[in-house]
Amino acid sequence: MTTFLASIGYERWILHVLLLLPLLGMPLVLLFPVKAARWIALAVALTEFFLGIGLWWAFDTTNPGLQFVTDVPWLSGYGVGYRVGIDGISVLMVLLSVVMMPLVVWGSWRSIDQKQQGFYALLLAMKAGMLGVFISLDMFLFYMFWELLLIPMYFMIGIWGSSNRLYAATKFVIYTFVGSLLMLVAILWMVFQVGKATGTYSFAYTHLLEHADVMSPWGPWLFIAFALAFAVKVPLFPFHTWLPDAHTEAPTAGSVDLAVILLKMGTYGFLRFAIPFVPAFALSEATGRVMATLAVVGIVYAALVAMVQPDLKRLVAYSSVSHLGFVMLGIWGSTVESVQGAILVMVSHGLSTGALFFIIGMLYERRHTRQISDFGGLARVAPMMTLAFVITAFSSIGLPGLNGFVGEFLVLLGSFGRYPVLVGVATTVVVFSAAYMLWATQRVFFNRFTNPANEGIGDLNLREIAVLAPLIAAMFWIGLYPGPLLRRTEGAARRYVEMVTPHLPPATLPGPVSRGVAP
Amino acid sequence: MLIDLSTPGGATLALLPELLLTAWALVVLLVVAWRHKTAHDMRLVGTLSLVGYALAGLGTAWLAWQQARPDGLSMMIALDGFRFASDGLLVAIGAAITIMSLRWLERQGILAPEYYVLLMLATVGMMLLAGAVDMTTLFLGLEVMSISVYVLTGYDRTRRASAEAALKYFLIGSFASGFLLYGIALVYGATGQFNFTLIGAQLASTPPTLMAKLGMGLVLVGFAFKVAAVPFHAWAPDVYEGAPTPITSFMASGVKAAAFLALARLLAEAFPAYVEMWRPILGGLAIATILIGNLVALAQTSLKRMLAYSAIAHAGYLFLALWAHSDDGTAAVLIYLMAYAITTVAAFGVLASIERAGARTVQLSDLEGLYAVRPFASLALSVCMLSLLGFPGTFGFIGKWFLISATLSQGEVLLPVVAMIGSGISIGYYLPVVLSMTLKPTRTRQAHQSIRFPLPAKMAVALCVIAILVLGIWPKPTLDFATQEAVQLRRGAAPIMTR
Amino acid sequence: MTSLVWLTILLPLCGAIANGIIAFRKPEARGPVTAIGVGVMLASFAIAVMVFQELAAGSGEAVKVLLWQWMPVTERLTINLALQVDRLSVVLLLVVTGVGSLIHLFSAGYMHSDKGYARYFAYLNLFVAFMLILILGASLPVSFIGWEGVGLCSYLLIGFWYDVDANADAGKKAFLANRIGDFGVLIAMFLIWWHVGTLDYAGIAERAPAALPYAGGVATAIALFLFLGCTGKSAQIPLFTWLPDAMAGPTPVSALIHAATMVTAGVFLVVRTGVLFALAPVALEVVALTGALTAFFAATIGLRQYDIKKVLAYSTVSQLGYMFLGVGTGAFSAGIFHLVTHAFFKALLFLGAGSVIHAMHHAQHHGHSHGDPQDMRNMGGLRKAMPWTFLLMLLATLAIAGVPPLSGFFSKDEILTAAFVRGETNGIYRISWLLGLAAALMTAFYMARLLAMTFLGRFRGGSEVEPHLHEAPAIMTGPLAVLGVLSVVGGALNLPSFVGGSHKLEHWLEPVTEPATRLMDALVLPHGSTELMLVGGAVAIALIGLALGLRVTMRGPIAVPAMAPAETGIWRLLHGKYFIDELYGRLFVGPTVWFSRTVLWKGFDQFLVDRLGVGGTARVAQGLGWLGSRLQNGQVALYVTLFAVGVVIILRTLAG
Repeated sequence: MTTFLASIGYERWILHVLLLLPLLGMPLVLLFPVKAARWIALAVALTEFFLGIGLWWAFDTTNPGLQFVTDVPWLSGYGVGYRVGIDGISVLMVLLSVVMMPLVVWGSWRSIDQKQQGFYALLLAMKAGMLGVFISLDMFLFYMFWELLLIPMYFMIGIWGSSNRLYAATKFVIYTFVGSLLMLVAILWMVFQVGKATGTYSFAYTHLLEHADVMSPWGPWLFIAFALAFAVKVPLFPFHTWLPDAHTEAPTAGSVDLAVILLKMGTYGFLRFAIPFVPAFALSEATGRVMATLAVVGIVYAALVAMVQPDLKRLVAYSSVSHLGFVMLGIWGSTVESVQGAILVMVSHGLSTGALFFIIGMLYERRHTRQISDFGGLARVAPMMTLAFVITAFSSIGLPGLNGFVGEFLVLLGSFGRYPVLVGVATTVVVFSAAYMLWATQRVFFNRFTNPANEGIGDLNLREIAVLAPLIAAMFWIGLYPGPLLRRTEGAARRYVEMVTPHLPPATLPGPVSRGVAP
Repeated sequence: MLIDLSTPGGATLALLPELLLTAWALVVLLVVAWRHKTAHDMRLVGTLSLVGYALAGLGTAWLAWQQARPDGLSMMIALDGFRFASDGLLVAIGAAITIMSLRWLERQGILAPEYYVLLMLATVGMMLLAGAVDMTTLFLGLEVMSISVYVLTGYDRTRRASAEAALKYFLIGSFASGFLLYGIALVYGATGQFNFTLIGAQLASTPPTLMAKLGMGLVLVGFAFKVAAVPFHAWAPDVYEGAPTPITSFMASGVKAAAFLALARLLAEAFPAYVEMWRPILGGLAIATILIGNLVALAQTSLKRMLAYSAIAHAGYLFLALWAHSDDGTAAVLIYLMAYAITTVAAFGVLASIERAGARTVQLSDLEGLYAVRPFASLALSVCMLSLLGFPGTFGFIGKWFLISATLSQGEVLLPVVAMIGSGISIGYYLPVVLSMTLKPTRTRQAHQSIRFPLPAKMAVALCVIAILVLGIWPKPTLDFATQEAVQLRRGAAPIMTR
Repeated sequence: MTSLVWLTILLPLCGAIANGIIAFRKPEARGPVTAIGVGVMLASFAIAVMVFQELAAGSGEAVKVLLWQWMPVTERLTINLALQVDRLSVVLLLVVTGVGSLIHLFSAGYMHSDKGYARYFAYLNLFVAFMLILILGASLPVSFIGWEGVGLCSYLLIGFWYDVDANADAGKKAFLANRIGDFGVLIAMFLIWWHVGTLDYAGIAERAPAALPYAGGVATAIALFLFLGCTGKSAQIPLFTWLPDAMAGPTPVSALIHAATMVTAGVFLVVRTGVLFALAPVALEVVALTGALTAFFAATIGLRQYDIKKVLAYSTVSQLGYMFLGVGTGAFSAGIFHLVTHAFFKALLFLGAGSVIHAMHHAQHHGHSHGDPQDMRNMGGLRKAMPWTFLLMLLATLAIAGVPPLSGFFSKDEILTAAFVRGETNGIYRISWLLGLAAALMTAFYMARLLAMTFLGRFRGGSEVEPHLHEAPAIMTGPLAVLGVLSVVGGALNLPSFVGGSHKLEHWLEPVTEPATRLMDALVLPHGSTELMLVGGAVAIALIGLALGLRVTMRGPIAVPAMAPAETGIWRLLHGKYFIDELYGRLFVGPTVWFSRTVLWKGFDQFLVDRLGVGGTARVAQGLGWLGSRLQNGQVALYVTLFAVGVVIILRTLAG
């Protein structure tokens, strides 16, 4: 496989093709008659999928650095270039988005009955934007994709969302836009300072990273500026309140993309930019405490709040906040284990939460309600759906053997050395998460079949099975055999940890290393 | 080629664009004398006047292409890339406004073709103002521009608002002109010079005197008024709302542009020595203008008024570029003005098409569900809003980028942060426009039926929108032009050659 | 064969999948379901036996079977999916597959008329698979897969009849209680990894003594967190409340999961990680005391239950307490011994109860009575109708009561002896011992009561029901018989010296327990008079208890539920299970939900952040804007004033 890909020069064109295809698809979707829209979208998605999946093999696990790098001048003379590339962290995100693409189109197949052209055009635009964010190695490019992504999401929520969509859409955009305003200043400030120090004014990520030490005097400010933008996106407690609204009001496709990709942009931003640029401050005793504490508070807090949500989607939204907290904790745990775990959580949260949103969407299509109280005893009429939901629910609450566990386990285990108490607190979530998930499952799928309106609910149809089956399969795969995944991320994680280690304050526990175990 | 400005011929050559436009204005005036009855006449005159802008544009282009430079000291009028760029921009604005006005005036029942003549003369004034290297030219241009605009503001005689606006504008305007004139006098008293370069040389060579300082301050006040900077902005909302929409657009884009271009040259050539004195003032004006402009815009329901405040806010951003007092800054002024002018013209163009004669000014709620009926109009307006917001992918963002970089590269962080806070506030009133057009349902079935979007205006708007988007992604040529050709303002005392 | 031990897991797993598919495709196909469900169990039992023989032939060193790398993260953290066959796991392997097979067989009869037949067997097979992962796992994380997996299955099986809210509730409760325990296990794992540097059982046993100071804080913490996990899984104080509710599941499930196998996982874990406990004497005391308390406490509740399964449930909790008392004294083999014998007789009791309930249900169905088929007050005199069940239940009762020479006698006696010996030097163990004795007395009592209420006297369920009562089919009584035999002879596994035995099991387990026992001061079992005194006492207590039980129960007539007088005084407290559930509800559940909804969600998210924070900022901005636009009153005078102010400011800055 690898040799074949090499023979067709895969690594030279793949990223650009992945980025361009959706953009080319958009006009097609708009020009062709409405009926064709979803088919075109599906075609594009599948092409993306089959092309992109090659990354799995083409990606060189032995190379911890950036791969597939391209650097084409764009606004030469102003330091802006079309610079793209991926490493172990972004490759998974890219794979995740191309894998999700067809599923998302399938998932919206029936649910979107009006303004289809616009919908699928926006969907494609969003895809391009997401990929752009994860592959761009130029701060200017990154910022552009980062912001442009708001527009499709805004309209997706605002047009195809449910009752309270306008509020949610506005909240989403304003939160994110305001959050990332200072990031622009920070980026330009870096470019200027580094430029002054080195003589080359460039937005190139590698260049800035190389001379990041120039920025140390302004460490706090830069970090805050970046962290604000990313923390809102993650979302990190207490910047999370936009998420439940956005998730709840968005159409299934929106919620899924939001959960699977958009949130990860925040954590990705921390791993890729916020911390590496100013590690000394970002990982200092104080900052570390604050961030880790916020992460842990978010984990427990969101789980508790999820427990009392009357609306299924809202419940899952809060569970997302909780899961993303693990990622943040893992990042600040700053051991290879915890960072690996964090990346793994990013992936597996995508799978389980994506699947949950799909299933809820299917329920919504059938009953046009998401209120838990409207359901009950569905297992009788929809056993397959029940099975799928139960599996997904347990994967989301981290049952060992399913994907959720591996990541969270590694995060907690790896971070324990630095934050024993916080990890202890975070671990209590195994109880709360079980509480909200099982309670919801029980009230929707078990218990007495009370509401006659649910009689009509049919079980999953083939299309829906086609959407869920891959996800569930992936849950088992990652749960039982995450090795291949870990191997792909290990290099990047190791490199990251090595990069930040010099700036780390000593950990609370000396760790296994000191006990004669190979470091 | 070198032009000796001390000779009549040279001066004429140097003033070619202005002269061409003025001449054509007179020609058109003659036409108006016997064709001023029907709507058709209006159209004819309007179309004719476009030729004038074309000529002026050609003249500018020729000078630029000839690399016209002053032989020795540039007197009265500048001969450099910056002026040609300014003239080009201003002429373009004038032409665009003319096109926007073409059908609009008839629809509003304003049947007086002199309108176009005044527009041309105002443009001439702006060009003189922006190109002036001499206090006298400066004041001359300012007044030519102002007086025509006063009249244009009150042009819609039938509407009280229009007349009131004109009166206000005239009253406070003359008040401001007084300050400006007094300031010029003081500066002359302190230096004995009118020519920017000579003033600059004088101030550089002598220790700062109170008279010179006060003079500069009063001149600044005059400009601050023209660009409607807080606290000299109070007139703007009323006047902008009262004036006929194309004229509002003209004031927001043209007048502001001319004033800023002139100010840029003045500060760079006449007062470089006092940079440490005028920087805090500009900074203060910037902060006040950005914050108050944006905040008050939040509270507006009338679209026109909202845009008026947004215009004020943008004046605030522009001060950042002047504050930088560097080549980047000058480039930023040009780029930002271009971006802002294009956007404003387009935005007002759409707005004008929505207005109906005699109806109250367009409210935000009037836009609800516009997309369903007028997809392109509403998309155009949305793009304009994003560009004003400085959203990536639009020309507005490029402008903001240069502005902030220019300030940052002077080691200043506070102003950029304030600017960012400002645009953070501004999303609070730009987004609702997009929202109500695209996401809200139409109130009534026959809503938006009365919208008239005449072809020329449509074309112009479309052009602007395309420009906004294209320049948002591929601004390189513009940037190169702005940063390389157009920034040669003389900084400090240049070698003074007198014969 | 040992290398193929994973087959014992794979087979039930495949069974589960196959039955699951059948459950969806054609649920009414009972034949194949039974064939698969029971077949895979018998097969893996066969394999287990072979594995056992191989191991028995060897000298007792553990055999590791590496399946694949599970989490290859770094050099210092590479978790393999590996199985460990040693003398401990093989014992459990035999019990689980053996007793499991019997119960599967029994189920085929018991569940025969149930709609969810296929689903039932799918769950049951899945459970066995997870249970085997738990006991065969070579490292804590691998065992943890099974540990939580059995929790999942127990959740599914308790809520098997999911359309009754109470069942779903019970399932959820069980899983949550287990999760509280799992929290402990996780923390323990983190501590172990950071301090010992490995999670393999072998590695821990090897490195822990060097890495952890004896009786140090870390060791104690690890042990206690592990034990928290055990209290969850094995229903000890304070997390025992889920087990009685778990009786909502089908009775065979109660027999398999909630008596014989899953609930004993805690005991297994303590023995597995014995070294860690041995390093923490305080933790051991806690284990012992908790066990003893639970044994006593649950027994008291058992005295006053009328639901036949509830009695057995509390009896299970109590017996598990014994096991922990045993391992808490460091007599690991004694704990495992009791685990095994208990698996026999308690499974027998439950299955017996099952066939009773089966018969009652059937009879009531035909007799058109709506009495509770599990309430012993509706029973009585069943010995006539179901002699076999009676006989076998009688044996089991004698066994659990500790009447020699039945299995229960030996295992329980060993534990109590161990407690007694430790008690001579340590007050805590002395108290535990006394509690154990008291519990033994009550055990005998409530078991006698159960027997009497169910089988003796005359039938109270109504004359229209009585004729329809009859013995369960052979497929159910068969397994009962086998278990009966095991309960009788089970003691032979570890006969003490005073009956000429040689503590076979103890020696068998030595390779596993040795690293731990080495760290503790040896447990010198008494000989001669003391020993006989202890034994005699135990026997006496058992007999007295039984006698009392029969006497008290048979003394007067027993009122059927309808006419039963309200419980009063201490009886009310016991019947109400000390109202622990209510207490927990008031203390933890209610407040948490209230806090989450009112304070966190409505209070913080919606009010503080959204309304005050975000909305507030917006409103402030709006307000400022509004103020600004107030200045815009159209009066030129005001404008000029503003203007003037501006001029003054600028000139001041310049002049100053």
